[in-house]
Amino acid sequence: MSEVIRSIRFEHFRGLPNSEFKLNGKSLVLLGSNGKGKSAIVDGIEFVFSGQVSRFVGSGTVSIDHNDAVKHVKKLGTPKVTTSFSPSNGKISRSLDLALPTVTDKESVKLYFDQHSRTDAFILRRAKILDFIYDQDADRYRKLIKLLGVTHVDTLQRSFVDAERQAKDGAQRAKAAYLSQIAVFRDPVINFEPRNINQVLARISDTVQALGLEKLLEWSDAEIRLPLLKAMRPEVNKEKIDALTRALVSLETPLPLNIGTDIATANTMRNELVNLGNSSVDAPRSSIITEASAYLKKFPSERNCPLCEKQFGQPLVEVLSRLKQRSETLRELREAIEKSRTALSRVPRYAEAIAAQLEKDLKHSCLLGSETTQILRNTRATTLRWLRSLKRLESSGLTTDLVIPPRLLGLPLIRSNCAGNLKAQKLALAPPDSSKLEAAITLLQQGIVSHAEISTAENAISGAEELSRRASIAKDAFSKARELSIQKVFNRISETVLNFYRRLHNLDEVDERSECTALEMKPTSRSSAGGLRLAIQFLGLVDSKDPRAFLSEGHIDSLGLCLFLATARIFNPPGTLLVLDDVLTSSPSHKL
Amino acid sequence: MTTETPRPTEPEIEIQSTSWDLQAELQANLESEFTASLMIAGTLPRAVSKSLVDLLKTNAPTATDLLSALALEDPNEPETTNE
Repeated sequence: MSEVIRSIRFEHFRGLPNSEFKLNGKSLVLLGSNGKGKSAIVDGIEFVFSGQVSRFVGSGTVSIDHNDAVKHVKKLGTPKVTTSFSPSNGKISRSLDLALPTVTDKESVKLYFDQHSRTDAFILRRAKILDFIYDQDADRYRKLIKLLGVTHVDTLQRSFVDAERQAKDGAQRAKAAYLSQIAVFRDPVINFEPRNINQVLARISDTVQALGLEKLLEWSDAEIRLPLLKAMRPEVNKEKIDALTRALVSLETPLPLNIGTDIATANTMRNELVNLGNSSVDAPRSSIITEASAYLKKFPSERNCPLCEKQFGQPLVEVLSRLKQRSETLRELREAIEKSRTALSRVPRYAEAIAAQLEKDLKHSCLLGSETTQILRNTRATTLRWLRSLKRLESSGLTTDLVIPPRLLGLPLIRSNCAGNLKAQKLALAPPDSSKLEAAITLLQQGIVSHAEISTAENAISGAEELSRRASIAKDAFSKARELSIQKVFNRISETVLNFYRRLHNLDEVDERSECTALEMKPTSRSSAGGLRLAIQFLGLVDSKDPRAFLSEGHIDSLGLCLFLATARIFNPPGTLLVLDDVLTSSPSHKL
Repeated sequence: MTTETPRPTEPEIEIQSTSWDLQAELQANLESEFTASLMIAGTLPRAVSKSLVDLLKTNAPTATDLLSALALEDPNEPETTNE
């Protein structure tokens, strides 16, 4: 970078008189009591390069009108800041009434402007140091990552954590569905708690063997044994008992009512989409933006939009920065839409399964009683109506919160009560000595009806568990890679930080050891979610500690300053401006 | 009374002043460390590992993008191991 600042001119800016500071490429140190305008000069430098003064925008500044704060207290004219450069005689100026700065049409001046687009990389205010050092570990780390301009690493980490959680949820959901289906075969009397479908087959086999039939080797044997068992029944009430058994098998088949989580996710994502203030139409644009960013990074001399060929109204760095910001917003949008879609696509499948099961139940309506039959018919009609509306929602998206029809919530109790009645009827009809036989027939029928679905559910578990296993491996691998990569960055910075620190505290001149002997990133207790904290090695002790526990307030201030100086020195191109506002109060004066 | 500010007599601090493309180096480190970690961590189909590393190069993959990559299978090939 060949340009240097020759002068900075302020007009109607904050509390400053219209004035010009001549730097001629040298450093400018301003000393003065409070209220003399030292910070206003820093504000002006920030304004000319970024178009705003960051301490008047963002969180905690709701009551501040940025433009009003930038204007001169007497409001005599439009605020304007102009920087003049040597040797080109070029200028960069920004006026509050214009959206864009005026930059002299010289490559070296444009380059200077481009390289100063991120003002937080070269302007440090005291409040920022205190914020940084006194923050919680995780916040401190986040601020440093932001300062370094590598926040995308944490965005990636969040995606890996999220993918692992979704995969784990999927595996748990598959397991819960499987256990609920297999629970039909539980028998507390003999303490039978089946864990898989083979155990169920073995139990049924034992039961039929106890009645003198051959053991079951596979499920197709069940179909063969059933008529043989039925043939053992006494003739009295045989058909009626058989009908009751079939109705019982249907009523005891569990309904997939574990839809609460998916409905909650769909509703949460709907609210998030409302908060993001975008429509789903925007989501596909993220890939165009990704490609545009990659293209412009590859061809940095491009001054026109590759799509419409119009000239950019802003410097390329600002265009890229806006693209990045837009891309991040669209990414959040895409994430919310995908989560919402996944949850929404599962709910109709539950509704379909409930309606299908109710249809099976209603085939036994002559045994259920008119009142129960009517309730089941109405509930099925409600479920089908809900299913139709869910299918419409799949394409249109949610406009209001999704709610399970209340009628469905009472369904398990109604079916269970009805099954209880049928069991009592069956018991009354069956001869006293045939209870074992009837239990075996019911068990065999239940197995024939549900084993195929249970096997499918069992396979779904292994698929979901494999995905969950892979997601955990990928997340752990990325967390480790992220930690090591960031540690490499810190290793690069820490030596320079310590050099600055030693020089600032005169540690080479006097026989004193540096309190701070190393700087590193360490995982926090939330490391599984990617939490990292900044730690120092104190007096060469083995364990790294939080700097606040060992350093005086003044030393902590200067550690923060050194961190910024090292970051700016290493990452900013040579010749980049460095602006420090009120950061040297606790440093020895002769080190200024 | 005027107090003279003491001036340091030692030479200026000699600290490296070349700029460093942090983002490019971090990205390169991230990709190589991630590839190495995947190999050490356990068994994943080659198609999954490749797709995940490719996703790191894109702007901002979502959890759904990652899950799609994780569900990939190698075409009739044994899984990669760290052995």
